[in-house]
Amino acid sequence: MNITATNLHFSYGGDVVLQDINFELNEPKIYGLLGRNGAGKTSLLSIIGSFREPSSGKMLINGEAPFENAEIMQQVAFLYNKDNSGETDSVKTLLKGLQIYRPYFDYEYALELVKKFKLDLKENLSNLSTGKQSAFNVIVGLASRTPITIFDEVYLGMDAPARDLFYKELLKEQERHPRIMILSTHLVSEMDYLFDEVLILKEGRLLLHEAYEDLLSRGVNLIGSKEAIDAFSKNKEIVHHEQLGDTFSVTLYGEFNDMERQQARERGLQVRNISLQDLFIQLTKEDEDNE
Amino acid sequence: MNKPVQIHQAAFIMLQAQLTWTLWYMGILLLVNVARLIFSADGIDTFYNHAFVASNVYMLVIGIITISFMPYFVEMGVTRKSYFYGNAIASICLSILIPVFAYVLTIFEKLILANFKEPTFNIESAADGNFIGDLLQSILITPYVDMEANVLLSLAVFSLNIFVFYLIGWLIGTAFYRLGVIGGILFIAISIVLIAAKDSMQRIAMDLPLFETYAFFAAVPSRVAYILLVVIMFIPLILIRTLTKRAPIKI
Repeated sequence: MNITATNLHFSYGGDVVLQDINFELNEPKIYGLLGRNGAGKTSLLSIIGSFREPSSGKMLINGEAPFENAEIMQQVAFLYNKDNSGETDSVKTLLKGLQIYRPYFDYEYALELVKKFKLDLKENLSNLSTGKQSAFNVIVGLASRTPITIFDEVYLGMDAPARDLFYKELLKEQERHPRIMILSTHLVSEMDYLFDEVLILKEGRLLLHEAYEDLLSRGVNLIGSKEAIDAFSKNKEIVHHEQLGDTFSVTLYGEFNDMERQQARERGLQVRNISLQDLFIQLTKEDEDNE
Repeated sequence: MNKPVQIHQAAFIMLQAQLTWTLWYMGILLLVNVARLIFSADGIDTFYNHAFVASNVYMLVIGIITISFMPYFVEMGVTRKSYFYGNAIASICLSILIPVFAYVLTIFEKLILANFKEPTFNIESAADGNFIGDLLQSILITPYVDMEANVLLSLAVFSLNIFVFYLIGWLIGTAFYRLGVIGGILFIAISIVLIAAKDSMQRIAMDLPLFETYAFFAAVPSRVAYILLVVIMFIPLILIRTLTKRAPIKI
């Protein structure tokens, strides 16, 4: 499977939500979609999931527009925090019912997950707690085994141990049945190790799309004297700087090779890689948040 | 690999769900009818006559909530197209099955009670120019044919009435989903016009006593009225398809 967005725009009720989005997801990997609230994550995922159409530009899955395309829609599962209050069926009935829609659905695996997440099969879905309902969404997503599986912050309602269980299952599943998994989140620090590639949205634009490892090597934090830092941060993108007395600290984003690192250390600077979480925070800061 | 869910499968899933609701509805209606038979001495309608009137409201209500199948299907990877045609088929099946159920239950009721009471539902024209009154009448005194007089015609009129109310409900529910409150209210107005037109055409086509307020329809010849009746049924269907064809799923 392959997902391609070309000059994708999306407006909603007069507001521009997504602007000129271009990317390509070609391999069965785990993709992290990061962005602050209102950055357009859900809108982007809704378009992939055929919930909405782009206002202009193209979103193609295997070269075809997914909207109202039965073959494509069957291959894409979009899980989100759904309001289940009107649901009258039990967990078991709902899971069984999935088989007709999802060709690769594995009911046995779903039952195994139900046990792991400690759901009551006979209980009506609407009677489950928020966390258990989130777990149900996660189970549907994992056991459907759709070649494109999207989790839009479904894990927010789950407690830490349940989330951890989900992350482990996700990695196991990805090994057994590799597929394009897209996880949108702002729980960056606890999920970063899952991602093969990271996409960051900021105010409706795609800020970056890079392999997780590359991204980490691009974010560098330098601490030391002003002169030394000025020398090294020349021609680099400074995403954050701070001053504590005579000590300066800057966060740079861009190529920073081993030689430069070595030289920086020789000039007495502290060099450390920053986490995805820090990079995310610095890169998606609103302009007025700076300073 | 399995094929994506086809229209007939979507139709079956929705018919199954709506039949479950219908069994509850019929069961409750039957209990009410039996209770009335037991506790009232005379002048009680048959179950068929009760269902004839009550099913209009029932179909209007389930028609309104039937739009909720759409987001469910899209989430499951089924197209809006399959949803629309599936539910159109399901609603036709439902509109045929309800009168048949009512008829069969009434026959059982008669057999059990043996002392069958003549239906006393008296249809008289109430053309007093009262618009609200006419509307209520449209629900309460729908174009009516006595089961005893002509079973097939009676069942057909029953089916037609409830089918149109279902379509109207479906249209209103869809308009509220897609266009919000103001659009929804606008479509209620459109629906009222559609019901008035449908009743008038039916009155002319089948020579039934109803909705005589709209005298200007009287000029329509009976054959044309049949055609117009079909056209009127297609209007909500076309509107629903137009509204759902590219409908975004709100989350």
